[in-house]
Amino acid sequence: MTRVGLLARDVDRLVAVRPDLAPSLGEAMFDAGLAHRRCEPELDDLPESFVHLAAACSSYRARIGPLTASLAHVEDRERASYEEQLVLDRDLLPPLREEAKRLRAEIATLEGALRAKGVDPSPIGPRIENATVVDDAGPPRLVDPRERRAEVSMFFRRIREDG
Amino acid sequence: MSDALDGVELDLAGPPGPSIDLEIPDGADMDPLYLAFLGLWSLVLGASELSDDERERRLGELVVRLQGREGPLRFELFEISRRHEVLERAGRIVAGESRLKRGWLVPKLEAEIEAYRARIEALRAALEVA
Repeated sequence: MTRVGLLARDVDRLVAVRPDLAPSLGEAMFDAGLAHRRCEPELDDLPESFVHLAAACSSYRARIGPLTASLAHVEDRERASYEEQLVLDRDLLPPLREEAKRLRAEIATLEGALRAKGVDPSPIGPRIENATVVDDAGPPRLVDPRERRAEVSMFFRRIREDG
Repeated sequence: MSDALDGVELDLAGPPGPSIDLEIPDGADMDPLYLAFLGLWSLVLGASELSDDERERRLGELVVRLQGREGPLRFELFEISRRHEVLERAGRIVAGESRLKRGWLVPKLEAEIEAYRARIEALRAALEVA
């Protein structure tokens, strides 16, 4: 057996005119559907056209209802995911990245000071293997195409002058 | 006197409303939902007690209305399905990224910060001795 979600309004209509079918509605609809499908459809056959069009409209409407409800949940989930992503990218990760960047700069300064005193700093303290790439160059900058064009023209002017 | 076909156009105009789950036998080589509705409307039409002339007139009206509704309904279903699929996929990707950041990147950065602090301590101590 296959479970299908039918519009209550359509089922009520059938039960109202054929109460005798109520105990076995599924089987009755299945048999009638198969019998109807076996008929050769004719374009100008009004009853035939009506049944096919009404079945198409009802099946679309029966799918639209649950899908619309599910869409609301999917939209909520999607929004929640973006909000979580936003919290991570805006509030949680930047301070950690900044702190890591600051500490790396401090390490570089201290290592430089040790080297100036003739001490090799590499064996000192814990080493950090496969460190996360922390963007030391600052946030990404939007490059204006005009700026890029000017750079390219400067480059060609320079090599022409060199030549 | 009321008839099985009364109010069909009104039903089509409003929102779909609630649905009822029914079980239908397996074995048909077509969409079971469409087959069930084919049977339902076939039975409803069979129960109509209108005279031949009146029935033809009513069916003529209904077919015109249904033809006008079928295309927009099919498009609406397509649009909702497409939007559903796109949002579900986008939500899954974003949720995956957040999980990765929260479960891997944040702990990794925190551990590195701890290690950097320990290294700074050691380097300072070495600098004092040097």
